[in-house]
Order: sequence, then structure tokens, then C-alpha cells
Amino acid sequence: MRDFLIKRILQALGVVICISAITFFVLNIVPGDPVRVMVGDMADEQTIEQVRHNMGLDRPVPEQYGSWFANMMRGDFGTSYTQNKSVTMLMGTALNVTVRLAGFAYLFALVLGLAVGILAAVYHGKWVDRTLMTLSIFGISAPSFWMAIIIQIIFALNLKWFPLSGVKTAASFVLPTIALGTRYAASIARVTRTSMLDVLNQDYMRTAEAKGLKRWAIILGHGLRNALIPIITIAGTQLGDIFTGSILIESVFAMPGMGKLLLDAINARDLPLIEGGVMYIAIICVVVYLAVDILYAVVDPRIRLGGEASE
Amino acid sequence: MMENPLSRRSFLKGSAVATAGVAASSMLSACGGGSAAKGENVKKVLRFGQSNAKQGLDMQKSTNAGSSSIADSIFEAPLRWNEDNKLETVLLTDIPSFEDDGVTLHCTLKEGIKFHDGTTMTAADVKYSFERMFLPATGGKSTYMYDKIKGATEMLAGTATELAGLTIEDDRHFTFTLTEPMVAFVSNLGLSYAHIFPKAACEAAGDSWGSGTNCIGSGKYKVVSNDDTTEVVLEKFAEYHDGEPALDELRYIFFDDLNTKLMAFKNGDIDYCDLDSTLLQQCQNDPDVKDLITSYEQLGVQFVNLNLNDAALQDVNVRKALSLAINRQEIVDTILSGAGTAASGWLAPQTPGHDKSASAFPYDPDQAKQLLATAGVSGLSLTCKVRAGLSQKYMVAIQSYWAAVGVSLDVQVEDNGVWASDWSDGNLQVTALGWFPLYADADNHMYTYFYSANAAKKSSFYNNPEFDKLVSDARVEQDGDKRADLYKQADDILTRQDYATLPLYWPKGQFVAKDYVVGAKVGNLIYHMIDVDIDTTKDDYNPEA
Repeated sequence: MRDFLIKRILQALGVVICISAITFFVLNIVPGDPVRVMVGDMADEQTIEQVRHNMGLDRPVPEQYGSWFANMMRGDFGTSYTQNKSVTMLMGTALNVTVRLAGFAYLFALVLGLAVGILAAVYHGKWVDRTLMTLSIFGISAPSFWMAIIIQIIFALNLKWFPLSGVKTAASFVLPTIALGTRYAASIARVTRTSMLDVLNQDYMRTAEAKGLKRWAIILGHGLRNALIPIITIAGTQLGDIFTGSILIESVFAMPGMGKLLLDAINARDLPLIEGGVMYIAIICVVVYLAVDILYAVVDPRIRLGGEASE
Repeated sequence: MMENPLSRRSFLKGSAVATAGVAASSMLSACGGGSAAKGENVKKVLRFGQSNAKQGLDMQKSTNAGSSSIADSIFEAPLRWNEDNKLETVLLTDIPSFEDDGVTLHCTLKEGIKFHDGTTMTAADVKYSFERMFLPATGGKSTYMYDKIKGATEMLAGTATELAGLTIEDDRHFTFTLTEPMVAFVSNLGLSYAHIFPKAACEAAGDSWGSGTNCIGSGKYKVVSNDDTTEVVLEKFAEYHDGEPALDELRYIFFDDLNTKLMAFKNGDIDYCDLDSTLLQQCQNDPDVKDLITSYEQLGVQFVNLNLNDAALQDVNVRKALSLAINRQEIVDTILSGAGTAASGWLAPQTPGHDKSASAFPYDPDQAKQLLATAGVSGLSLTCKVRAGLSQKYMVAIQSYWAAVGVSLDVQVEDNGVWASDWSDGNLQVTALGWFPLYADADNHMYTYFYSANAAKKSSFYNNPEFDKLVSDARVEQDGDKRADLYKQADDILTRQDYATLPLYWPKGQFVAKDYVVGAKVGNLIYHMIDVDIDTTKDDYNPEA
């Protein structure tokens, strides 16, 4: 396990460094001048050249990358071209929002998805199953921004139960959590149902029932545990998505999170901020996939990591 | 299979209880809406919704109107362009005029102007603020407005640390000396870029100046809190030098999504916000909002930019034909839902130099066809590259207008950064954009865009010595009427003789404000709260909301 972890962490570092280099050079190759975007249409050439010089953008690209990389290794991602602030600080502020939003949404998706999936499997073929699966199709099909607007209108504008937007209170996170998490909950529910249906018909389930164990103890203790591998796979990949894919939700609910920060950076050709955002996504993905691999082994002891032979 | 522990009855029972709860909460929330306080002692709180410029509130570093809207409540420039597009004094005793040499400008500060930290503004603060603007470390983005001050160029180049052209006589008197005459310099003193900062506080804040609560000005409102991302809260500055501010509290709340902002307005979360033209039609049909819409004329123009270096566009008859083929009024009525005025020239009606006698550019596709035939042009094929958004929409309309006279137009959408590079590199054959001057002066239009040296950097390449002379003369003409006449002639040459560019319409902006918001008015692009008040006697005003 230790060797596996060391190997994977080194691989992850290599991936992150490669991504940083590719992103930096690609962003410098693609057409488009960040200085002109920054100063606006009305600035004159002298001002544009002065700003370019002040920002060090008149230096050769490899030299720019070298100094950026050296600073990044010290935790300094540079200064945002557009916001004149440290990228590390901007990302810290945005992460504070995104981590809370994504965390709540993920928890919501996991709890709701598992509960719905298990219920649908247990009541397979019954009206509960049919209703829940119909709702899950709706959940998967409904775009998150549409869901966001609909629940905004119903629960904020009409019923006035929750704030329409912002991040001031915990209640502000309720509607964005539902809007962001519903789609993922629906996916988890469908996978959970399918996986549970396979497990519920196994002999060991009937054996456990014959031993007189309580029904829900059997379903959760024996059934769910054995059904977890495909659920972990989808839930793991969704964790990466949910942390990096909340741009529209953040925009609709006026939440200053990572997605919105990155989108604005791309539109403004704010290279340091884009680099910082790409690093964030890369690190999230690498960490999540590493965690998923480890979870496989924890959940199913038959799976061994690091190439060890199974018994 | 397992037996069913959840019966349909228990499910329905649970649902009924939940529904009853929902209904009860709903009724409670409807009944318990805040108590509407009225009278003179009620706290006046204005909540304005806008998108977050994310460029901070230091206007030496920001060029965004959204930043300006907030910054102008906190900081002040020597002069100000008011909502009637007139220049007025703020920090100076009067609007200064150049000496006969055209380069010397004496200014006098009003007496006893206090900053929010209690210190008194002096001429040293003025000098510090202007010098800071030109320091390379500041990264000033609008230095071109003021770089005619003697010594500015040297400071920008890093070869000087002091602005030789700004001398202090005493605490209240100072003098600008320019390198060459520039009448518009006085007008530029009325822009947000000329905000005066307290030297000690600004130096102490360093790079943080303009973010968080590092915003100490002399304006009507001072910063209480500013998280830079969701909200800026200001309160009245009791020691303001020109009377007591009307509002007790002023909140700027950020919304990047236009629909959410509008919903927040309808929900009572904000009292006043701008209204994007894409939502205008929807609002005009919404009984809750339609009576709260105010439209205002802007100083800008939306136009089709033609690249005069391109062989296909060098014949004036071709350009005139392209103009005649466009139905400007239809574009205004349909695409803009009426939020504009079909143009009759480049300069908008409020700009000195606008020709009131000129009628809107005619729509005459038959004459357009004749002109193209006269020019010997058939099967003309053009390429237009635009940014996504409004210009893309009207260029698609123009595509069909031009197709009707035998001109094919390929409309391509480019990313903002790519377009900006193509535009300045002269790579665009046809493009479309809006040009919005910062105040009602034609120099910002004519010289900045179409003077030959500048037009070469904007994919226009317009080069007419007669036009150049008119706008150059206007730059140094101190008589306002003569100056306006020079610009009027220049506009005529540019748009009605040379058809060097095709003005389409002068856009209108619009906003929505609750009926208790008093004095909401916009002169050009920036939403100023300086003269806005709240009528606390109105039924729907609820400061506790």
C-alpha cells in the first residue's frame, strides 16, 4: 500500500507539472492579447505597451514560464492581470465558497441518491420504484441552470423560504445545493438501484434473512456493502465534476466561487488566474481518482493495490 | 423479495403533512412580511444591484464603469460630469481655464475638504495622486488621458519620479503645465481616473489600495465593509464638504447573472439596478416591472467598421451602397426593442458637434443596387468578425439586408481576446462595435478613433487630411461653439461624404428603480448614487427587508 501511494503521488506530481507547462504554453500560443482585453478598446498604444512591460509580458515565454513555475513551487501563483490581486488569495476566497457548495451538493447527492436507489431496488417493480426512477430520469435530464431558475422562482421569489442569491447565510446554500446536487443524486440513484438489484438476489442475502437478521440490517449491512464498487466509481468521478463544474450555478446564485472565477479569467485572458484554476482542477482530479482507488481496497478486501497478487 | 415496509397510505399521509407544512409556512411568510416603516426618522438604505467588475475600486487601475459606479460614491475627482452631462466643480472652487498659452492651468481647492479618515485634503494629495498614476509600479490604465502633463511621459518610462508639470503654490493652490495644448484635459479632470487620494493612507495600504476597506476618499459615502466579491456597504460621511448626504446607507450588491438580478429586484432584495436590453421586452410585458423602467440616452454609437485598406471597400460608392442597404430603424425596433435611436451621424445628440439638421441615414436598397452597379461591383463578398453578443445579433440582420442588394456577408464570431488583437492589428475587413465616450466631448470620438494615426490601429485606416486637420484644430480650440462646429464638419466628412464608417444607432440604456427611489438618473454609462434619495413615506419602502 505504501509503495502504491508513493508511486501514485509521484505520478500525480508529474501530471500536475505537465499540465501546468502545457497550459502555460498553449495559452501563450493561442491568438488573443490579454493586455488589450484588460485595458479596453479605448486605450492608446503607448498605454498598452506600458502595461505589457509592467506585467512582464514582453519577456520570452520560456522565461515567463520559468519564473512562474519557480514561484508556483513556493505557493505563489502570481498576480491576477485583471484584479490586481494575488491569485492564491483570490482562489482561497473562491474556494471557500466552492468547497462549501460542492461539499453540500455532494453530500446531498450521495444521501439522496443512495436512499432513492436502495428504496427503488427494495421495492423493485412496485409504484415506489417506478415513481422514483421516473423522477431520477427527470433529475438527470433537467439542466442544472434550468433547475436553478425554477427553484429560485418557486422557493425564493414566490414562497420566500430561502434567499434568492448570495452566500451570506447557511440558508443561501440550500437552493444552490439542490440545483447542483439533483443531477448527481439521480445518477447515483440509478446506479445504486442496478447494483443493489444484482446483490439482493444473491444467495448470501437469503442466508442472512434465514438467520433471522433484521431486514434493513441485511439490506444495508450485506447488500449495500457488496453493491458499493460501481457506486464508488460513479460517486468518485462525480466528486471531481461537482467541484469543478458549478460555474452556472455560481453565476445564477451570485456565488463568487471557483467556477465563476475561472470563467471570468478565461474571458479576460487572465493567464495567472487561468493557470491557478487549471492547477486546482488538475489537483482535484488527481486526488479524487487516488482516493477512489484506495476506497476500492477498503470496501472490497479482495482488491489489492500496488500489483500484489490476490489470494 | 423483501416485503414492503412502506405502505402507500403512510407515504400519502407523510406527503399530506409535508404539504400542510408548506402551505402554513407560505401563509406565515405572506402575513409576516416586514413592517413598512414610514416617516422622517426612518433609516434610508439604498440597495443597488450590479455586476462585479472585479477590478477593485482604485480607478487608476480599473477602467470599468461598474467599478466607477461604486468608487465615485467614495472618492472624488477635481471636477465631475453630472447626470445632465455637464461639467461641474467638486473639489475645485471653479472650473479652471487654460491661460493664453494653452498649457498652463491654475486650480484652487475648496477650503476644508476632509477625507474619511479625518485628514484635510491639500494640494500635496493632488500631486501625490497624479504622480502615483504615472509610476510604472502602479500600472495605471488610463494614463493617456493625462500624459500631456509635463513630466508624465518621463515618469511612465521610469526616468523621473516627480511630475514636473504639477506644481504646488500652497495647500489649496496648484498648477498643471502641459507639454502641448489640449482643451479636453479640463474635461478629463472630471473623470473617475482623476480621483484624489489621501497620500498617507494610500501609501500605507500599498497594493491593497482600492480593495477591502482600503478606500478612503472625500466622497459622500465611506466604506463600512467590502468583501470584494458579493457586496460593498457604505454609510454617509457626516463631514462631507458639500452638505449632508441623503442616504444613511448605500449597498452595492453584485449579481453576474442578469435574470437573477432582475428576480432580486422583483423580490425586493434590491431597490435599483440596470436593465440589460436583452431583458427589456420581457420587462415591458411584466406588470410588476413595466412602470418602473426608465430609459436614458447614452453618448455612444454602435457602428459597422469598414477596413478602408481593403480593395473591396475603397470605393466610396460601395460604402454608401452598404449604408443605404441597412434598415437602421428596423434594427432598433426589433433587435433592441426600441432601446436606441437610428443614427444620422457619428456624434450622439447630447455631444457638442452633433448635427441636429441631419436626418437618419436612409434605407434605400434600390439606390444601393444602382450605386453598386455604377461602381461596377457584382457578387461582392465580405467577411465580418465580431464578438459574441449584441454586435453579432445586428450583423446577422445586416447580413440579410446586404444579401438583398447582392452583397454576401460571412459573419464569424471571435473570442474577445482574439478579436481585440485582430482589430488592433488591422486584420478585420468588416466588424461591428460600440464606441462609448466617457463624457460629452467629440474628441473622445473623432480624434481617438478616426484621426489617421489612431484609425490605423483600429482596422479602419481612415486617412483624410481634411478630417485630421479639423479634429486637430478642435483639440486646441478653447471656444466651445467654434469647437463644436469643427466637430460637426468632421462628422459630416466622416459619415456622410466619405462613408468611412457606418453608424447604426445611438443606444439607450435603461434601469429599473422602485417608486421610493428618488433622483435615479444616468447621464451616460456610470450609475451614480450621489444625488439619489429615498422617499420613506412610500408604502413599499421597507428598510428592514
